[in-house]
Amino acid sequence: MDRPPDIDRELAARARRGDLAAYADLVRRYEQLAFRVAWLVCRSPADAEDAAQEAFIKAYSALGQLRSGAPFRPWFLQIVANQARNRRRAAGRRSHYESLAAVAVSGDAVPSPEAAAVDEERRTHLLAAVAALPEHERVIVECRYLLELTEAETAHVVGVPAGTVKSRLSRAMTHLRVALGEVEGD
Amino acid sequence: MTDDRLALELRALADEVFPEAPSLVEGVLSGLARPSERRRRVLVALTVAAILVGGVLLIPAPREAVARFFGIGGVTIEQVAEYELPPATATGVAFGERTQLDAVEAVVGFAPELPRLDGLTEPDVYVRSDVAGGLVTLLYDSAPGTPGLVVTEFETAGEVAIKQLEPGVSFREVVIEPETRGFWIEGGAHTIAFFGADGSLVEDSARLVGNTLVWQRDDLTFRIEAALSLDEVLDIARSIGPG
Repeated sequence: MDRPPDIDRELAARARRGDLAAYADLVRRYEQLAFRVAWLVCRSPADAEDAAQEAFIKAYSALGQLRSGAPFRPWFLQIVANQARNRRRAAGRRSHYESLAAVAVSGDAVPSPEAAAVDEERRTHLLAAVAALPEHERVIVECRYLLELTEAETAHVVGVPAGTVKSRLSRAMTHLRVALGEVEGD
Repeated sequence: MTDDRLALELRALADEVFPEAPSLVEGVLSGLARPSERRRRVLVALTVAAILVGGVLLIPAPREAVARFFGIGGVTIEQVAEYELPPATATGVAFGERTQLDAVEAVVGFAPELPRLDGLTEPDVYVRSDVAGGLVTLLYDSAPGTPGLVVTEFETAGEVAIKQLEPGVSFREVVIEPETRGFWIEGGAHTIAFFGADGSLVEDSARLVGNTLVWQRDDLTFRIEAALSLDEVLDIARSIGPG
């Protein structure tokens, strides 16, 4: 994955000096990731869009609090996660995997070439297995593999220590393999 | 199949699972061009502080001895020269009615956020519905009958004021999250005051188990009381999220 932190630092430094064009570049670099992180938390495209947009606006105001040389991405993702939690709280709780299952079943989304390489039946089973995970394990799997966040970033987004991310991910992978019939359950 | 292979398959699902991301640049730049919300909040804070001072002046000494104000976001600390602990302290704190976690939202209108550190047991949950907007208290035991950790959450109609009352009580500003700062109060009791959702002034004293961390995140104010170090309490604060 392309994560050149030097570009982020330079753009953030320019934005801190009031360069809106630099900040617009940062927004373009992270708008998809911000939206997806927000969607993981609130499970509503409209709320996720609002949360991501609010996060960018808050982050701009708070750029002065970002330590010089500190990476923009984990700091920003924490702001996104906070905004999304606020949105989710305001909207009330949802049985949030319903929307994921609906997307998967509807076929509205166009599979990427990479996705097409995965057998359709296997993919269906895999989605069902992910859907069946306890929420606290599912969100870790989504952050680590669907969004390809680092352990530290996942810890920021989910709000748990990095060690907890590691242990929950390990348990989740075991549960997935059991659900897929690859290993025997307890 | 290895975990690496399974991870690869999971990554391949991403584009199917997530809705298409909208472009945010135009909305963000428009938002940045609007008048600053921060300026509006500062005005509100000053107004509320003035009202609180007015309220304090209606109460007999020693509370009228207002010395200094310190503010972060929506939380203001008011130092006073003399201190008188509210009477409720002597007999313990009225947490409100004991209830179940999943019943809280129906009473107070918001879902409490929970610390999510490993090792915490299920809390005893109390709600105060007499406070406009509702006040939720989560008690985590560290020893039988002794609250080791108290988390309080409430919505406010405006700003929150903390009266730093006892001699020897110290406070300092701490960073909780990138855009969230709070106050860490050590060494004794204090009173917290805020406007409930109906605009009425509510006062409550922190006086249970030790030091206190107070901060606001949007409409919710959080307070942690614990006989723990600042680092330990910050870990707890940073783990707080929707249950």
